[in-house]
Amino acid sequence: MFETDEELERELREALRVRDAPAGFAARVVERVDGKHGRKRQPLRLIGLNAPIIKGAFVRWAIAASLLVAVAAGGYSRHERMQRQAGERARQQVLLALRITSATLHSVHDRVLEDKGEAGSK
Amino acid sequence: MREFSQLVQAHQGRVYSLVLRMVRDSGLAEEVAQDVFLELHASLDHLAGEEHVLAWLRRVAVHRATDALRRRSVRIDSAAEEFEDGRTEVGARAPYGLTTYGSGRSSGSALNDRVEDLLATLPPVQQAVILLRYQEDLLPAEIAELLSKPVATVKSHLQRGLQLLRTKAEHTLKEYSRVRD
Repeated sequence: MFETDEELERELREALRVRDAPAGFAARVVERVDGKHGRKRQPLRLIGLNAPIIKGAFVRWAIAASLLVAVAAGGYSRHERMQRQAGERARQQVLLALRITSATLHSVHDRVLEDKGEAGSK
Repeated sequence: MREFSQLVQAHQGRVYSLVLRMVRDSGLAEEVAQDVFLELHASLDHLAGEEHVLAWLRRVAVHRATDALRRRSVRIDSAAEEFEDGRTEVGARAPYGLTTYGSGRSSGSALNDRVEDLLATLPPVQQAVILLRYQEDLLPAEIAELLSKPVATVKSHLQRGLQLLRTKAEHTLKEYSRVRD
């Protein structure tokens, strides 16, 4: 079929010339790009972060990251506060239990002493 | 550098042709080619100029087409090995997708179509090297840089690929002559 390498190479160049892409290909690509960007940008537009002054992707990500850290920090403070309150409640309960126990012990001690006194007088 | 839409207009034929000749399916080729340009759009900030864009497109188109072939599990390597061993089963293990080439098939010449069919039976790496050499008119050293391979490896792929093409073409012609007679 191909007598020489040159003939084969010539046929290859001929057969492999660049073809046209299908009709409308470029428009479909641009449509996909626009659609993708529309979906990505929407959340930022809602909170006004798509203003020209802060259009840079890096700046948007930095702001989003800062917000996340602030929310997380606030959540942690609340958690700490709740932990402290629970600890205080437990401390009060322990103190109450000790007071009750102490009162009970005093009462028992007094009774014992009374009983001894009565026994002595008999 | 030009706007993205202008880059698409300028290079859509090149990218589509590279992918189509590897995957041999016009629907899949369009899908892969579109993905290449979407990736270009995401990477534009990192590309220095038109030359860089062109090299990038060639490299990514070849890689994405190779990935698509792998996913489709085309048994190209087995077909190539048969011919290397001297076995001559014509039509056996025809590459998947030839029958769905569809409207993109006609290149205006039955011989051209046949060359593309034969090319598609080569291993993906040999297809890629031959396409970059004869469609894109790149030198072996340029292909080596594009594919991050040694020049000697590229030349070896080129040589083996051409040899296989010649062997397959001769065999096909013999079979055609035998069937006719």
